[in-house]
Amino acid sequence: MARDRDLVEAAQRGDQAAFVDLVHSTGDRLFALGYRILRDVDRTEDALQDALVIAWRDLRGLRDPDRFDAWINRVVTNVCISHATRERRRTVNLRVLPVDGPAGPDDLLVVGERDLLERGFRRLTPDERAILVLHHYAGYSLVEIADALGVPAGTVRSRLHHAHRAMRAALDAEARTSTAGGRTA
Amino acid sequence: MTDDRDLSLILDSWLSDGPIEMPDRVIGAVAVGISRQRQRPAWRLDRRRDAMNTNVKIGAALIAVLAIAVVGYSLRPAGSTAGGPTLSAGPSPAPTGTASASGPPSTSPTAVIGGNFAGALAAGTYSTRPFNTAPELIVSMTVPDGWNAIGNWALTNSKGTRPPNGTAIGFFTASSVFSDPCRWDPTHGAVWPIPGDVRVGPTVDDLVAAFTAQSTYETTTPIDVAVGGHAGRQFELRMPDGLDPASCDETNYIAWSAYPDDSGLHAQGPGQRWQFRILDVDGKRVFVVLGTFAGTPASDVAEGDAIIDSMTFSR
Repeated sequence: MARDRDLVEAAQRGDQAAFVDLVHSTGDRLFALGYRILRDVDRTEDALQDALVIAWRDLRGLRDPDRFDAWINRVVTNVCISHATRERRRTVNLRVLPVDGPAGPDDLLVVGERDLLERGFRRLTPDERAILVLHHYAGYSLVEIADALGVPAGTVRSRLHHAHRAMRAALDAEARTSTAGGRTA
Repeated sequence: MTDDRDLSLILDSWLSDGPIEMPDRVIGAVAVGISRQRQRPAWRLDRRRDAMNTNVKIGAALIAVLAIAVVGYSLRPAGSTAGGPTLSAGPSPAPTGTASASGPPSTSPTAVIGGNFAGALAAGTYSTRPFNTAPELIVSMTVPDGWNAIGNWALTNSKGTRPPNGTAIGFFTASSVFSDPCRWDPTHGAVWPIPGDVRVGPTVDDLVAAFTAQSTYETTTPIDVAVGGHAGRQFELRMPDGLDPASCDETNYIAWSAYPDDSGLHAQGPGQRWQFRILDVDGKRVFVVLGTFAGTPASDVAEGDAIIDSMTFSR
């Protein structure tokens, strides 16, 4: 967008108000992306604050202002991966996601499945989480994900495959338990 | 059994749930954060990128920085009668050996090399905060005549940073390395900075192992070293003979990255040699690089070594 390009160029010249305007126009999308990687509102706020200050710091290195969206997505994604990596070293406190409303016949997921997906997602590595989110939420192609994470496309493909397999296993484990009529030990 | 189509739909649906609005307090926090954060000039981010200026010499770098920095100043020891503003510097040479970053800061006045300064350094003692990921660390060092500062993170002698005989000292951290520094951009469309493809653990040995494990360049056998009383490991990395960085991705040869917290460094020309001193400074891994070439006189290498050997760390 022409307006965003002007804001990017102004921010590159040190205009803090222009950068804040950019944050206003992109913040919701970036927050949504970060949350889906980190799965925690407070941690997402922290990560996003860090990422946006880093973006301000490094903004003059962005040679093409029209690539701002892809560039800031990458900054946010990689900062979220860093935060997720640090968090994995601590005790994981599982939080059940709030359900906005009762699951109806048109909903693809029921509450139990959401919890299984949440557990499966938390067992993924931070890189795998980011790849899953970029692919299924942000709609990135494998090449676009490779560019965002700075890894070869083949690496993205294999990590996405592993993430899918892990998430499928999380869902199927409960299905097997239910079919068997009891809980696993 | 969940099939692929079902899984894709399930993941799409599940990930569509969740907050989609950024809390306003984030904007306020960011506004405060950027008011306290200096933007890096493009030349500093591209400290690895001298392809934009094919004849980078210290003078060209000075011009780029002086446009936004303190103009016309040179740092001189206290008592100098030369014209222009002066900053008091400390007495000659700072003690080495037992200095600790946890100890009290030096009470001797020392000229401070600020982030925007670039220029000649008269012989004396200087301090700088060169590590973005450890801004509390102050490095003090004794510098002889003939050296120049490039911001708060690098020094070079009168021959500059480039081949055939340049000498430079830089301060860095790293979180990853590139298995092939010539092919660091496998997607051929990356926007620097990006992380290296080899992630590195937090210790000195982790980083040493990551560098020395790569097969696309030669490294000498690491040896134990101490700088300012802080233990570490030292080795030299040499670019492959005959390799011109201009043939590498985006015409740059880049061996490591500190993304997202900091930038990296690119080779200044064919035949680059980097002597690493990777240190543990009270739990923080940092390193000092002495950059030279085959044509760098032994006396210049020794001078660079002496500067590094004089370094102490404080907070």
